[in-house]
Amino acid sequence: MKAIKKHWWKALAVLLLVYTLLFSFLVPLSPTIKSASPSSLEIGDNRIVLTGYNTNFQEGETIDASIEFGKKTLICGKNIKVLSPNMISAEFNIPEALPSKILHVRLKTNRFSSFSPELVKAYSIKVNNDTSNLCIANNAMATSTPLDIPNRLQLNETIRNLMFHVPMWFTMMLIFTISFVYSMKYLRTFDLKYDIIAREAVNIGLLFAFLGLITGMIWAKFTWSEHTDLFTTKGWWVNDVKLNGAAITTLIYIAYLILRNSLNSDQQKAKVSAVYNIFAFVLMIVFIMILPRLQDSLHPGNGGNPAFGKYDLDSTLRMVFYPAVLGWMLLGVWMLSLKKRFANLENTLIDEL
Amino acid sequence: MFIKNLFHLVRHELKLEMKQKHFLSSIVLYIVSTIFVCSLSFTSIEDTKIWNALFWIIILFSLTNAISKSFLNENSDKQLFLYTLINPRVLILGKILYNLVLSVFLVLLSFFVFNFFIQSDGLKDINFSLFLLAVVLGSMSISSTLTMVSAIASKTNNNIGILSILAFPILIPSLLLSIQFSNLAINGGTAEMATQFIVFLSLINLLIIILSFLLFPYLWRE
Repeated sequence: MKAIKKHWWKALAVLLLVYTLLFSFLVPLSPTIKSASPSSLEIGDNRIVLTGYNTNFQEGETIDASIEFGKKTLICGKNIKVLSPNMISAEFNIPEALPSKILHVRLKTNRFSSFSPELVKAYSIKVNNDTSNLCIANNAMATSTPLDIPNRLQLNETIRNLMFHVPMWFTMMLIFTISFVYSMKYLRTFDLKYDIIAREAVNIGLLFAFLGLITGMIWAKFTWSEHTDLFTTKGWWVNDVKLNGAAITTLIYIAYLILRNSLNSDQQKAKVSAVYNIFAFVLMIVFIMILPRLQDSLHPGNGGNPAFGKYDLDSTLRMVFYPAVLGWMLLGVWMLSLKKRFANLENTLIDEL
Repeated sequence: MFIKNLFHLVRHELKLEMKQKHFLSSIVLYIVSTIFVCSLSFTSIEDTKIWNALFWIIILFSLTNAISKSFLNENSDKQLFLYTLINPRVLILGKILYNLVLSVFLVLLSFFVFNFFIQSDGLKDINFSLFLLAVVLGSMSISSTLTMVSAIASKTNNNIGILSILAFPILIPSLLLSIQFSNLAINGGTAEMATQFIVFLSLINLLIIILSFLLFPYLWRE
């Protein structure tokens, strides 16, 4: 009973992380249209081929394809034919005037409904302000909403990285905050047991910082850069505010460890590094707050990029993102407590010898 | 009492500087020779952005060199003597204040030397007073950070190496702000456009001084 009371959060951490891993690797991406060919339409009848991802079309299935803009259905597709499990062709009759030259496509079947923004363009039309529904496509009705991870333009399968990359930074900040608090505690009491926690927290925090950097670099290479070849040096790093912040943080804490190693006595190590830890942490937090307000970032939520909170983090992703954050944070604290015990044991061993 | 001690200390540092002229002259020579070496490879820089970046890099390294000596010169006996006489908080404020004066002097000097050796055609529409403000504010935040970090680094054996490792990551953000601010001034920006830079840089300066004020007493107590 006592053991359960003491260790329940470790079991929770394991459960949450197993859930995160299973969910983020096993749940399929939602079906969507990836491309249309030709993507630029002319006035009059157009036959275009829509290529999908995970769509799994079947012969004889009811499929609605329509062109939309501003929540209005403008043109309904006719003569929809299934060419292969991931390909259909549809006919669209483009009128002389539409509300926009860049248009969205919606696809509906009995199994799912998908929306692809800015998939087709019609440059030869005139732009008017008529925003009434021009047609209604309601042959297909999705009966149930399947469990799937949203499929976003450009992100595609890499969206699964959300459950790993983002929680790494949250955990790192938590662990560095713990280190900061224990450095302050040390300076109030000059008790070395607080210094051990502050030091081990920096070690664990750096581990999470490197994991966050690695997952972020891989993610950036395959979404932000055009160099998707693994064996080039291009595309791994971009000049972005948040990347600069991450680099600064990592450098500060590596410097902290070097500072510790260049001092001699334990008390001096503890005192000087605690002073540096507090000084650097406060400045780092201020900079992380200030800098993103001065510059745009490629990250979601900055400079006109779609924010995760607004569009991308739908209810399915929330179902796994928040548990993932909590799970990684608990894992970080667990690792910290193990490192602390190990350091204490080491100290008693040295004392006995 | 506090203020009186502070001014005593700053005056004491200034007197010391005047007595040991070799230190100030060595740092001035350092700046002039660095700029001269740069001028050999860039006789004139068309792009004001590169001109600006080179200027700030020279400032960063010359200030690191100048301020790294602020705790190095004092041997432990003299330090002990000082510590028994005055409050450590007065000591760090005095050092910061003195280094602010020194760095503003060095930065203005390097600006004139830099402008003398390396011309840029893009500097026609420079807002000179705003540029000076950017340079002064930026060098103040650099020098106050370096003063505190050099106090930390003076506790180790490998002083200068540790100083740059510890200070540069903390300096990157205020350096970025200063570079953007002076870029704005070079391109003829007005004070209204630079309000956020002025506010942020002043706040950072204030924060660094407050942090040093609070943390320094823990450093010297053996």
